[in-house]
Amino acid sequence: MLRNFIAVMKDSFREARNGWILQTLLILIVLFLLVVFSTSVRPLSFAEQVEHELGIWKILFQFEPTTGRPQVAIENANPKNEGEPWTGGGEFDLSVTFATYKDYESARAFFLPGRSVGRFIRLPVDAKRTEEFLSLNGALKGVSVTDVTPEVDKPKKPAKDEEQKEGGKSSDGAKPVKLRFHVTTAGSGYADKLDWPHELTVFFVVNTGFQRPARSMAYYCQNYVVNGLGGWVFCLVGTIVTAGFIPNLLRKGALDLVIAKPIGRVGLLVYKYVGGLIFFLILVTTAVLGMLLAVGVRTGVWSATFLSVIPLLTLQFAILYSVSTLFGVLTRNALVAIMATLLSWGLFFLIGLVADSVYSRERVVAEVAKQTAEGKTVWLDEDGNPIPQDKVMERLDPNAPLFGFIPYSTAPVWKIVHFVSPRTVQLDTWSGKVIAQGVLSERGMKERGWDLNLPATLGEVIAVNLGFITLMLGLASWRFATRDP
Amino acid sequence: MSVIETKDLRKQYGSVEALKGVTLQVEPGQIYGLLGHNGAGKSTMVKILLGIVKKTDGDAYLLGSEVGTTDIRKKVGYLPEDHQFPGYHTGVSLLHFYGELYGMSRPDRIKRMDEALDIVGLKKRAKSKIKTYSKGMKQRLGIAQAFFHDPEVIFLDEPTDGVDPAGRREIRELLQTLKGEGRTIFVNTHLLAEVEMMADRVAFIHQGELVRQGTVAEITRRANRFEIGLEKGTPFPVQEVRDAGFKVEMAEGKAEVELADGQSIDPVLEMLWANGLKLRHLVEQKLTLEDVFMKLVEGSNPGGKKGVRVARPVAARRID
Repeated sequence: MLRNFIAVMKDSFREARNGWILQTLLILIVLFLLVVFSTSVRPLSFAEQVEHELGIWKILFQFEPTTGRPQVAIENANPKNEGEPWTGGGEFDLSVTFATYKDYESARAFFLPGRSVGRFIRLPVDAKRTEEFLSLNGALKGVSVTDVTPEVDKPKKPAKDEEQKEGGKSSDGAKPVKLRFHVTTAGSGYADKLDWPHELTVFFVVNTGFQRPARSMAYYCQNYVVNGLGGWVFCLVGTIVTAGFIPNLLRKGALDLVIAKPIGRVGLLVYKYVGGLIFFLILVTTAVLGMLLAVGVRTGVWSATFLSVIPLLTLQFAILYSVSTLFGVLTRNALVAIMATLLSWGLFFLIGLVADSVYSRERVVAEVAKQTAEGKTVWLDEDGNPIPQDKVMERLDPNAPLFGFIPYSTAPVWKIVHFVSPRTVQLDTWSGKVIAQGVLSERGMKERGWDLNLPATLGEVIAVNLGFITLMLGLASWRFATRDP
Repeated sequence: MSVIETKDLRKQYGSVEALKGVTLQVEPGQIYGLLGHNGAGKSTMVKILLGIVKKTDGDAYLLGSEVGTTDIRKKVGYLPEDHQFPGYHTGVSLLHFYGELYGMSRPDRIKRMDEALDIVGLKKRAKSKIKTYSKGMKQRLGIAQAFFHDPEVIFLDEPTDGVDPAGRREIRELLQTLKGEGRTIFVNTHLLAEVEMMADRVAFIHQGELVRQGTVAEITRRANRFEIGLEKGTPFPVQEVRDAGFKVEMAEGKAEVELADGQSIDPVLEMLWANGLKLRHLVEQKLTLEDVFMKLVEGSNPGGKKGVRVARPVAARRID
């Protein structure tokens, strides 16, 4: 039995490498890994890090007129612990300049509802709001702000007659408003050096200006490049390449040769199925091990949990390949097997997406209901005032159509269908979470919402997927074993 | 113990009855030819014996065991008709793959590899991809894989299909060699000439029924005709022989004497000797398998029923 298994595995490997697709993909993976190996990262200084935290705001200020488009700058930065700036914090001056008084007024009125329930964002127009603003994303800890704006630059509303100058046209107080805040911080929200923002250099010398924590960069490489893009490409190519394995085995003139050998039909089909997975396993293992090594060597972020992506991604492909195997046995046609697999993949994705939307809605509604019951402020209106508790649920509209067009009344159906169908979306989400757990800090996890519980446990997801694979292979085996060639 | 034994074996494909109660026995060490036109049921018979298709009714035994078990298949080699080897294999890798499925150890496979490929004349192309092989080379590789694992019984379905005359001769010689090693060889073919030259026993299958079986000699001995030639310029005593109760016809200067049941040619020869005539040519004419086959087919389809697929057998004259 073992000998037969090994023989079919070797045969499948030979079949997989026939046609050079496997080799081509392996070469592409290696080339990409070489690019990753050519990168290096450098931790930012204290001043650079504070600038980095303001980076996204500077972009918002530039493109959003309601912010008053302030010019912000960091000056006189002075870390307490220069060697490990993420530990001791420091002090700096934050200079904020509005072109006109009107801009300043606009910034004072600025309101941006936060992502989390009950949060909102104000701009640095006074000491209190600056403290809120700088504390917003948790990157700076123990922020204390003193307004040190010189008297001459204190914002003053221009006199009415001054506004009437220039032929009755308002000048809007054309004099710039300059604010200056002295900021001291007790530390940072970054857990360690790897969590502290780094600057990325590629091809050994090209500075990209890209600044993120080393852990985040590792996360991007592992989650988005290998698990996301890589997984998608591997699944697609794997589906196309392996779709011919079963029809080739079953074609006239080939099948008799093999089933006349001392090997059971069910065993042969299952071995051939596992053999098809080898194609995928080779690609994924190369990509994961290579990326683990490249990221570890170049950033110092080593994560053994990343290795679990190998079985998780392979399970993802195993679901698709079981569909391909069933249709390969039923039709003996590789093209039909490919089409059926890709359609199923899309269908599983759609079901998963809608079901997750249902679960997400239920979670938000439950959280809002809980906070409302506890008397907490849940949402603010456009003016920043708390929305009355009896209006919160009405505003949330728990029965609104999913994605704007799927009636929410169908939610139970989606949940039932999702419960018994392959959990490809949830498996993908779990892969992301496992990767995140391995490389991200607690802050990084929260930032990306990985701290929240997923709708299903990993055990449940794996069990349902394995059940589906067993069903597909069972049907395929039954058909193969009972039909005369 | 018979190597192959079937009793009232039947196979139904939907409404089509492919085998209608076939009973046969094949003894060890024989080359057994199962003959019939395309669609007669030859391949179905072999596939049932190998467990590739399931019988509808009746019994089938291979090496004393019920057919279809994996253990029995270890002792059997098989070359299917119109086989297609995976193009990504080379001759060597294919034999390794199949050898492994038969449970051969690597040293065994390596030991047998050269010999097997040498026997079928593929040693030089052993490491080339099969997709580059000609039809004849694929056929020879097919035979090699059928005996590579040292089986007791070898089933060959149309083994000389697509092989040139020289190759056919090599295959016949190879089968004789394998027979000499004590193996039983079951050959399915519609190329009657091939079987006539190599088989010990043959059976005719027609429309799913076994219509005749026996040794080649038994089946072709039925003509009871002798061709007699005398010294040049000497007339044959036609009337005298006819008067003695024999049927005589002259053709191309030779006399063809047909014997009735129970008659012997000896009285004719004694008569010629007594008349001082010098004998230069004496050949016992036999039916070819083709003749027998055509008679059987015609017997089954009186008046030459149209619509029956009959592959025209290749004519041959047995050379003893």
